[in-house]
Amino acid sequence: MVACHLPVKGGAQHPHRSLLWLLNRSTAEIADMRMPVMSRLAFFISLLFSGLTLAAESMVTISAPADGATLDAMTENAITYEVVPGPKGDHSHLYVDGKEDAVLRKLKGSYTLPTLTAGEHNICIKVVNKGHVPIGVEKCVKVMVQ
Amino acid sequence: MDGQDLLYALNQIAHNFGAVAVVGGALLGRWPVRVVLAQRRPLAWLVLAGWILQGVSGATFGAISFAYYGQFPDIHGIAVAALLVKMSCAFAGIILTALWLRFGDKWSERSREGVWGLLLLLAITALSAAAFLRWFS
Repeated sequence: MVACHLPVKGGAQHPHRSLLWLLNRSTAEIADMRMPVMSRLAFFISLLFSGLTLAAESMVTISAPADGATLDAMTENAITYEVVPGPKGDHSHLYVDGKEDAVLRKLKGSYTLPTLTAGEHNICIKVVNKGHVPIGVEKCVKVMVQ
Repeated sequence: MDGQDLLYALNQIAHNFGAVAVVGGALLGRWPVRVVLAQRRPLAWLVLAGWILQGVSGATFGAISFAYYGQFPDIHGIAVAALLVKMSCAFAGIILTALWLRFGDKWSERSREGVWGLLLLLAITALSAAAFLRWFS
């Protein structure tokens, strides 16, 4: 049941009604607050948008190969990654030396790299949106193939 | 709600209805019942509008991406080929339908039938290419 009754009449703000406090309340508790109808409506709308902004930020992690690693040209090499698309992203693309090589639909896993010639190569994973446009979040590693 | 997603969705609606118009219009004009020339004109306008809508909304997808990120969708290989096929179909569809509307009444019945068959083929090809563009990019 309601553990806290808020004196919100007249628009006065309770000192504890921070975002953290709100996140710790159940929907039933929030709905049971003594708030005017319009304030309650505005509150739920603001909660919805605050939820959107709280979504995890986009991020790419490449756990293997490490940046600067040396790879064997004669063996099958794979990249191990994890992608958090975030609110703007959808999936990711893999690039080898600036050229798109694959669409990575799995958010976490391993992908076998194409055969790489001897020398230095730049491997990148970029987060893209539903329209396949890079949103500016990427992770790259440089590898040396021998 | 993200404005970018809303724009993509609204544009997708236009693109989808364009696809319905080019496939449905050509199908109705060609098969299964042969309609008379006068009845085909509204269908031809529908197909022309559909192809124009396809072209414009297709370009708008790229424009939305450019507006938000300063670059076009990053596609390659089969997806690029599929996009070129779609663009060629739209271009050919617009030209062919416009020619039919302008000069079709002077053509033989066989030629008119042939054009509708070709329009149907273009529509099916474009719709099929769309599937490859969607899943190979």
